[in-house]
Amino acid sequence: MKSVAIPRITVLFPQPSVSVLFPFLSKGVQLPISRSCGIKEFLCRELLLDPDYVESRIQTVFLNGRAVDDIETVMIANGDTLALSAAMPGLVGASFRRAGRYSVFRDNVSFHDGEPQVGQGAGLVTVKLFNLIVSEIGPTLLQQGVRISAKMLAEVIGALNTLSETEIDFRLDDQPATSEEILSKISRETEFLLRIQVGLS
Amino acid sequence: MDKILRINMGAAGGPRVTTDSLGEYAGLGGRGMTSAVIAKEVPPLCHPLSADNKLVIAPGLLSGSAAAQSGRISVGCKSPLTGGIKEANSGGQAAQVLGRLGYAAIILEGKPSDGTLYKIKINKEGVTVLPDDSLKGLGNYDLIDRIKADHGDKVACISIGTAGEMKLPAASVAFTDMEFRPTRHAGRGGPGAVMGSKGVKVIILDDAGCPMRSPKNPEKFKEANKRFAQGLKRHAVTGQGLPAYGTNVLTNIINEAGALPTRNFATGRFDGATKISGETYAELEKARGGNPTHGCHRGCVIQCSGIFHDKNGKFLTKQPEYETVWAHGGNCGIDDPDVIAQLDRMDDDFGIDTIEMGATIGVAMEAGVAQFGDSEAAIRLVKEVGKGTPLGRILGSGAEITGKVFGVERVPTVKGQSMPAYDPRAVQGIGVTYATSPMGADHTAGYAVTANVLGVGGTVNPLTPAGQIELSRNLQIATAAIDATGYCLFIAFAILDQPDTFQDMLDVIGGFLGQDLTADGVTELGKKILSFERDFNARAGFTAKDDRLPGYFQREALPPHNVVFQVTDKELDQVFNW
Repeated sequence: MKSVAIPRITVLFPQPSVSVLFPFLSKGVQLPISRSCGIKEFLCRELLLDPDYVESRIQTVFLNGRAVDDIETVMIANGDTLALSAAMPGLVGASFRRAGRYSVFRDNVSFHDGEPQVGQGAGLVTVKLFNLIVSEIGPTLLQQGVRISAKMLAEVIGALNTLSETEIDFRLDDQPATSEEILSKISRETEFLLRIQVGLS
Repeated sequence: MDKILRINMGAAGGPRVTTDSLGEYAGLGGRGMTSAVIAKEVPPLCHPLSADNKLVIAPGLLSGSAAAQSGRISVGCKSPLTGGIKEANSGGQAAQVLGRLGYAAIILEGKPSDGTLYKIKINKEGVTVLPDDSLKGLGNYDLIDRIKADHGDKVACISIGTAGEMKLPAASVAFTDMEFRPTRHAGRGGPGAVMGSKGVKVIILDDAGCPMRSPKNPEKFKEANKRFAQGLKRHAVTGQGLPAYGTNVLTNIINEAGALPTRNFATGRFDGATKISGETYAELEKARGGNPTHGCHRGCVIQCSGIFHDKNGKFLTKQPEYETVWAHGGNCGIDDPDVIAQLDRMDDDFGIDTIEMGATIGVAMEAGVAQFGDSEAAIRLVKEVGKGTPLGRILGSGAEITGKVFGVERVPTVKGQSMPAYDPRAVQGIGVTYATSPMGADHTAGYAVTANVLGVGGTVNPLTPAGQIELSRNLQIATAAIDATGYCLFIAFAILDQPDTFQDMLDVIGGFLGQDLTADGVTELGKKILSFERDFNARAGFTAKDDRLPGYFQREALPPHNVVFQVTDKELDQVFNW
């Protein structure tokens, strides 16, 4: 996929406030994928996650809304949506676990062999992070940078503006900017690269 | 716990209190006790609000001891909602207090010939039953404030709100929590209406001067209990996920799977799910000075509950459970966490089952009584229930009656009880349990994911279609057994993954009772309880035709995956074929 420069928004603020952005990671942000590959490979290669962490912690995985049992063989590519969660409570929560004992309970919404692939090749993947996973890998992901829509950026700025007691700085393409200046760009651009930087400069 | 307290509310000359030995009920606790008493003593064809019905309140076998997570209490009766046997259970302080008072069950029998309302006080000195019509019309919160003024906040209370007084089929029985608030409810199936029909507004339990129950083998019990608690704390679900976010951690996941019933089960995805997720509630609670990590009773290690403050930082309600958030949220198209919390508070105050209430409002919205997503209308409708207006009494009678009154076909009920927060078209295995449980549609009836670990059912190949029939059967057996112990079902998640924690649990039970629990024993106990329940329902007129989901679940495809419920009637009829 051809790389196109998009506006880069950097938010600088103290670590304790990062969680205000977690709901946006749960709604879904876009990350690049360099080629079609297995889900586990994507998580380790593109998100730089430790393979042991992926195996032990990410117990619940959805690809395009279907529960995945085998993250080694199920492929992910441009256009796909991947959702990641820790092990969940409840019978239904347990049934959504990867290759869990109760997976037959949700067979109707499982990702099966031979399932038509939604995505193809390199490009962008929508990633959703939930519960313990968002708190554990969300901050790193935000530091690496995520692509979000103009609509979501407006919501992000709205959420950050609620942190009245927290000192927050914005940068637009590495230059200091106000939230108003960034919002003025929203009508002209469709997407942005959002990064956070912890600790004020 | 070597005695049963019986109070005949309809005795000549006023309520009569008797204390029995356990007799044929020896060795039973929780659901085992309630279902045995109902099956043996209540005429199955009686009217649920008649003098013939009984309300049985029973702590678990371990309640009143130091066993971690043993604070569940069961309430049994013939259900005004389903017409079948009912066991609804709850957390709160009452199980531990009642256990220390030495009662294996309280059984309310008969009914007053007039409309007098009573309060019952139980302490180590004995039992007093006093008329107190000044309590009439009080919501649970005002009632508990009155009790606090008279008795302090060290007691535990079992009570009904206005819905129970009106004998509405969705009425719950409330239990006070550690802060002496009426936030815990045995909600499903209308036990509050039966308590109301007995003329009992509140039971005050005071265990001052009563020792904790002693284990038969103190050393084995103490050591195992310590290891068991440590095992719960080190597991990702019981030690991290549930404490951090509560059961509402499920909203995002079930929504992602396309299994979150939305707008009266019209679709499996709700656009506003993230706004009302457990993650969002936890952040709100922290920001407003509440607490996302809190237990519902002393001795709770998991701490899956929480405290929700309003926008002004004032206590409003406990952290709403996943099923409550679904019922008043996605199912009604509402994505405002404050509105859902307010509805939860009102449900608790009026004493109504949150699942039934939310499902009923969803049906009413489908009928055009209000628009999906209209928060103010939802609040107004619940207020109607609390006031007892004609519309409120219809809504308080549950989803099925509301559907009949307003001519709605798409009513998500089994045996008259509304389905909870998981669409059975997407998660068919839970549809098997909804259909076949003697309780009506109930997600907790087959909740004990430890069935295989407990040794129930032997080897099952879960990856075959028939597997979900066998698994549902085994889960229902294991759940019935755990419901008898007083253990919180959430212990199952750690037991599923940690063999040592499973052994520790067995050692806690063995150390306490002085006899080891075996896999055969678990299976036998679970089957025995289910047999009581199935037998009662059969004598009440239930047949295999009642073990079905509504037909539209097999006809109408659920977006986004466009799936229907495919388990056949023949397969459903095999669930209890043991």
